[in-house]
Amino acid sequence: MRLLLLLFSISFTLAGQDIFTFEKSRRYGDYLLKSGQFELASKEYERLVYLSPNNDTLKTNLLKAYRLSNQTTLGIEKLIVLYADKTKVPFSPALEFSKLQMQNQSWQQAKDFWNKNESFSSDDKVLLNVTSDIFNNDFKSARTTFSQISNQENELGIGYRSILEKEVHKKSPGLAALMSAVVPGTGKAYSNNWKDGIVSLFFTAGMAFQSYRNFNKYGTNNHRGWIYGGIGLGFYLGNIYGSVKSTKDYNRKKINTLQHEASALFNTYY
Amino acid sequence: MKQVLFLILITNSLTSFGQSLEQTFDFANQLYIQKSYQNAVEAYKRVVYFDSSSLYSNQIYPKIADCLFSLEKYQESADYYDLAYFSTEDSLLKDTYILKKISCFLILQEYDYAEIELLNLGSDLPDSLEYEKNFNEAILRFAKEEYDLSEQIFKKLTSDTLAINELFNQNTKVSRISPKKAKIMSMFMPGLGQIYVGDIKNGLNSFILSAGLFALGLRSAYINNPLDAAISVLPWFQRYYQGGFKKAELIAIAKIQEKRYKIYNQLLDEVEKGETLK
Amino acid sequence: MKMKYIVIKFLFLGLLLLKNDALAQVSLYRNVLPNGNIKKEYVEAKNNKNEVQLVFSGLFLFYKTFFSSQDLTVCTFSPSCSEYGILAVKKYGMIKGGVMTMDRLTRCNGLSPHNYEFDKTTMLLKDDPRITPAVSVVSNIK
Repeated sequence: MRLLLLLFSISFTLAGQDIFTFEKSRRYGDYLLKSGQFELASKEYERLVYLSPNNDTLKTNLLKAYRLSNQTTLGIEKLIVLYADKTKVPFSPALEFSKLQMQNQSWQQAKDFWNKNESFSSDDKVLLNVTSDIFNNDFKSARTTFSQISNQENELGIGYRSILEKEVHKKSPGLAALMSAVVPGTGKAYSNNWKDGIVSLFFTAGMAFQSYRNFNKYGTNNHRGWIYGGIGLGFYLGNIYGSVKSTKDYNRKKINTLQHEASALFNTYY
Repeated sequence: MKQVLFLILITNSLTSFGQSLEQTFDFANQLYIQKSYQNAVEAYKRVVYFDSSSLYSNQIYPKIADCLFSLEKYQESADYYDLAYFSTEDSLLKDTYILKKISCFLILQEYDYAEIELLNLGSDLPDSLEYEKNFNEAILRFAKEEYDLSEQIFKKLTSDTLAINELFNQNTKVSRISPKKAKIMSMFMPGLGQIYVGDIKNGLNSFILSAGLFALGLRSAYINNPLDAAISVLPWFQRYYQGGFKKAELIAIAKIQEKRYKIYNQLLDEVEKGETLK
Repeated sequence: MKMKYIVIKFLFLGLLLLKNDALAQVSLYRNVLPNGNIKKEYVEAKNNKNEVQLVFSGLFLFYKTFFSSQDLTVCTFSPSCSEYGILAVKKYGMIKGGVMTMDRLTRCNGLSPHNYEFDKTTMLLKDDPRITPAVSVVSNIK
């Protein structure tokens, strides 16, 4: 016992000018995190968490370093090591872990996690569910979840409500296909790509005209009319496909701007 | 009680390897000697952060730069040589770091930056640095197409000046190939320019394609009518005719580069031979 | 006597190492100049899984070696229209891939660059048939 005490005191005197002490490591870790060297920061916080296994701030920072250095799977696996009981994770590390899950796009696991967690209030859970639904492009589910919110004056809730209202104005890919089937190119014009629409119309009409001319001149037994006709048909079908695609792209971009809005709101609130 | 003491002891002893600033620095140096460069960089960076009175920075910056150079991160390496340059007062060391920076820029093919650094070098260098300076400058002049100057400096690097002479004679022949001439030749007859620079395959390809389209157009104009030929064949002919002579120019430029690359590497072979003899 | 021998051996070894170091130094400079290699390799036409893919890869290679090689870079996209064609046929089959390629040919007009991402290394617009544009997750959750 006495020997042990001696060793103990020696080990501390040695640690006096040490640059690997807990305090110094913590300063260095903070510096690494702030200066954007996230991978190095994750190594530093791993050590710090090992040295002080009950510090929630350090654990939050460790998860953050993993998320910002894009080592999402490592971070997700780390949680079980950090907290034995997933339902009792305190608020800030739990929020950080939720972000990690969302960045990893594991929506269902994310929902399971925060719905079972005891540190989040019921409104927090609603807001997190709506956030993940918006990011996952599931606006129907987002609306039903959002109606369960209890505090109508919640800042983030008000923002999300306006986003959900804006989502209705979308264009129909089916209509675009129909329009393009009747007059080539109009489906693309419908989805705001009128330049591509004109080019499609020009290509299809040109080929149809050439085909018609050659059939008139040489009859249906000559290959020329068929070749032009075939290429024209290809452009016609391609244009229908393209109209659907361009309408979907239009919707996607619209939703993407809404998602960016939601992300900005989320970041200022949490 | 005993268990807690044990635990603290263990954590202390775990971290006590390479602990103080000095020990960490020594540890990093050891990693550097073992060529474990990535780990060495991490350790050095830690020392720099805690080294509040800048005791080690003039030793560490060049070390980090060396590590990054070995890790083939040349841009970052050049940045650290810059820091090293400003951390020392010794003019000899300053010149060494500048030379290293020039190497980085040459490997990155940033010839202009390399030239600027060359102007920063001191005037009277010791022999070993003088040799390195000449080596870098010879390469730089060659890359910047200042061949006469390059030849003079290459001759200082090796005793076998005859071989250098011969290689630079070959190089003058390469300079005679003119991309513009190839382009104009291909304008008159598709494929001629390509054959002139020695690319027979592409020359024939271009000739057959353009001539074929030309014949097809004539035939169409004769059988159907000129308007039909103009609509269906002329755009294609124009595209491949124009493509042909523009490609002739590009092929000529690539040929010149290829030949220069070969001569340049033979020059390096000569330098290498000279070095082994020394 | 033995001691001397060992010392000489080590000195000699050290000399060899030094020499190797100097040689390694020169070899770093081998690629300071561009090597002028403009030959392209078409990975798109490799790893064909059935006869249809084989035929289309053959057509693609024929077009690339004898026609495209004489052409300028006229396509506004990366991968180019012919590369898009072979990639689309390989992924979606002859019919859908063909239709997609016809659509792509009409889009290759350079009039609406704002619809695509810009590839800085090739100075072309990005449009790859292998990548299905999923709704991008907003990754900048701070």
